[in-house]
Order: sequence, then structure tokens, then C-alpha cells
Amino acid sequence: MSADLQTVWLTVLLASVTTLMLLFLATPLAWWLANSASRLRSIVESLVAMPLVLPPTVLGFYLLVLLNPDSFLGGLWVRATGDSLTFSFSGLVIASVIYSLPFMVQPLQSAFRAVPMSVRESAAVMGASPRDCFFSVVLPLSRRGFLTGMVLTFAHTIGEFGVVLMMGGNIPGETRVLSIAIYEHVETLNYDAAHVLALGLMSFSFMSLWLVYRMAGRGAEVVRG
Amino acid sequence: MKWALPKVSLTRRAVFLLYARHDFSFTRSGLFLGLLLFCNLLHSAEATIAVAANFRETAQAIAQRLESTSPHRFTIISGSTGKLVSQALYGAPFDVVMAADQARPLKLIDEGLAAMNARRTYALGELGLWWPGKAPPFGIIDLHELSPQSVCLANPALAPYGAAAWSLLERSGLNVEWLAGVVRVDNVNLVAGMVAQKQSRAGFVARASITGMMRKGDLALDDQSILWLSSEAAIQQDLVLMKRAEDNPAAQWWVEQLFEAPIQDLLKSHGYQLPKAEQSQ
Repeated sequence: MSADLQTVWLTVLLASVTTLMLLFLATPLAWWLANSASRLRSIVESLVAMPLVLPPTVLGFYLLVLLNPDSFLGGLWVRATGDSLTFSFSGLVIASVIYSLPFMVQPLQSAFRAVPMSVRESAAVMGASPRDCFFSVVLPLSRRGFLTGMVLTFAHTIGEFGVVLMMGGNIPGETRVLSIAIYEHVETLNYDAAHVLALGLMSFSFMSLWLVYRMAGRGAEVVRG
Repeated sequence: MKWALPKVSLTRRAVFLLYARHDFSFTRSGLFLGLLLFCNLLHSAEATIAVAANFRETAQAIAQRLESTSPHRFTIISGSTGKLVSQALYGAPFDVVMAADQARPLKLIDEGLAAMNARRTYALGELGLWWPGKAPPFGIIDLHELSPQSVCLANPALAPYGAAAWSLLERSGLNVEWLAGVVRVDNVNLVAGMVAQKQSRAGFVARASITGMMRKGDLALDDQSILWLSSEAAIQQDLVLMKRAEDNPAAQWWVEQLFEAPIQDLLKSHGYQLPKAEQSQ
């Protein structure tokens, strides 16, 4: 497998694992944020949204400090697995999950809020347990939010750069993702290879956003209709 | 040739001996080749070699040669020396670190990541001032003629070539305001690229970067058109075998072979001088 193909595969793998993990982690969190009246809610919302405004290097730096083999967490991981969390694929997954958290939580939170309380109450009156109500009523009605969250999380992870550079470096087959490969091609004046990867990413980003807007447009039509 | 390491060849030798005791047949030849392949797989290992940016192409050429003469596989990672050493300190899985200076390998030894006897000087790099349109002799002080000022060097905080260039600039007599306008880029290879593409009008380059660009056909240049500064700034490049790789035959093979005649010739052809004790006879 050529180096760039390996990079594409690794990037897609990272984005897929991150999206899948966030799907399970972000759903209960978004549900709680959509329904809670707790004072803590605004604090948690701010923490979740922080990666949107925080420079990736800040996040990368703190993850590097927290997860390196000499730290408490990094040391535990080394003792358990024998591998380091920094400069490894596992470390990148953790970083990506944190970095892309708002891209999954916020669409889900909006989708959950958009489900009318009357619908949930009707389900409850008809004997549905809260669990039944969530899986049989809320989830189907929130599918657009799930799709948007998944597309945005996947696309955002595909384009990650700063965090990866800080705590992943550039290790082929382990942490060398697409954006790092483009950076390296430009650094080594290999502009042809950089063009191929950069154009690929541009097209992918456009397609992802087009998909999101198309879904949002359809949603609006449904509401108007 | 010294390519057959004892570690690898013992089993192979046994297979050869067994084979030599029998007459030729296709079945036996197939079996023999299969056994040989199996032995290769048994003894093959992988090593991650972190190299200073100026050494990237040379390291790739070395990896290609060593992979063709051994069962081992090498992954080359390049970057400025400072960045690589910092990554190694934070747990990056490097088996050999080939720096462009002597201080940072010592830092890895101080931090307990490499043993003192695992450090060796593998090459002497050469710094030059490339000023297209101006041929030597000229002095660094003449850079003040450039208007608009457009001079770049590798970031002195991360790249030893940049640090050597900065030290020369500071001693050249150029004033502080002028020095503040010098552009710093990530590594020394990038400097050569920026000057070649006229993004910068002059830059402090490594001979290896220029040699590499000329070999690839990206640059046609007379060697004499660059002001070489080897007498003012000798750059000794050291490597360390990391402790994590002390039992890694691929990493050990890499380090051993660097000081053998074929690789030493390759280093010279890539624009490096050899440290006195390591020159091949």
C-alpha cells in the first residue's frame, strides 16, 4: 500500500472510530442537556463547546501533558497495554473524541429539544415507559440530528491538524493523517502529491456540508409542508 | 560484503548446509526457498528512525538499500531536531534518533532514554548562504543590501542549522532591527525550497538540501554560487540508539551499517562529510 493510501485509510479509520464512540457518548449527554434544568447545565454546555473556540494547540498541549507515559493517566495506560498513549492511534482517538464533542452533542441537543413535549406526554399516557418513549418516539424523530452530528463529526475529524501535530506527530500507519501528510508534502516541496490530497479533502468537505444543508433543507420543507 | 549479520545468518547457514548435502531437485528447491523465506520472516524486525529534516532523503536512500540487503523494515520520520527530540521525550516510539546537533542527543541521554555509549557522530553537515544573483566572495554583512529585506533561516529554537546561522548573523555586525526581520521557518529543507521558489531572496541552507534538490532535478545550480560556511559553523550530527531499541535487531543493524563503507559513500554523495574517526579507508 502506498504511503498516501495508508494515510487515507488511517484517517478514515480515525474518523469512523471517533464518530462511533461519540454516537454512544454524546447521546446521553445531549439528552441530559436538552432536558435538564440543573444549574450545572450551562457549565457543561460551555465545556462541551470549548473545542469550538479553543486553539487546537492548547488542547494538544494539555493532552500531551496529561497522557504522556510519565503522567498518571499515561503511566496507567502504559502499565495496562504496554503502549504509550501519546504518539499512538489510541491517543489520537481520545483527542479526536474530545475535539469533536460539540459537533455531535450540539446537533443532537437541538434535535432532542425539537421533539414536542406533547408527543412525549402522549406516548407516556399511552403506557410507554421513558425508555420506550426515547427509543420508539424521540430517536426516530431526531434522526436528522443524528445524521447531521455524524456527518459533521466525521468531516471534522478528517480535517484535524493541530491536535494531531501536537500529540500524534507524524508516524506513518499510526498518527500520519491526511492533514499532516499534506503539511509534509508542502514542506518537502512535493506539491503534486499535496494537490491530490488537498483537492480530495476540499471535495470531501464540500460534499459533507452539502449533505448537511440538504438534510436541513428537507427538514424545513417538512416543517413548512 | 558485510550485509549478513550473524544473528540473521545462523539459521540461514543451517538451511544452506542442509541443502548443500543433498542433490538438486525442484521439490527440494521449493522447500529450500520456503525455509529461507520463513527464516527471513523469523528474523525480520522493524525500526522507526527519526531523522533531522536535512537528512530525510539520505535516510530514505539508506532505508531502501538496507531493506534490499536485510529482512528488516524501516520507517523514516523527519522533522526539525528540536521537534523530534521533544516528541521522543513525550513518548514518541522512536528507535533511533538522528539529530543535526550534539546537544539534543545528550538531552535524551540525560533524560534516561538512551545510554551514553549509544551516541555517535554520524555525519558533518555544511551550512551555506544561498543568495541567488550574488556569487561568492561576499560576507554575511552584505545581506543588509537586500531591499526589501527577505532572508530566511530554519527556526533556531528547533533546528541546529538555524541556530548556527543565527549565531553567525548575530556576530556579523548586522543591527538588531535588521535581525528582527529575518524570517524563521520550520526546518532547513524548507529554507532551500523558499529560496528556490523566490519566496525569499536569500537563505541559510544545508548542503544536503541543495544536493537533494539537484539530484531530483528540481534545481540546477553551480556549487560555487553558494557561500559555504563550514569553517565558521561546523555542524556535527549525532545519533542515539534509544533504550527501547536495545533489543531491536533492525535498529542495531541500521546503526552498524551507517558506519560501513557503502553507506559512508552514500553519505558523501548526499553532501555530508564524515567525522574523522568514521572515514572509510
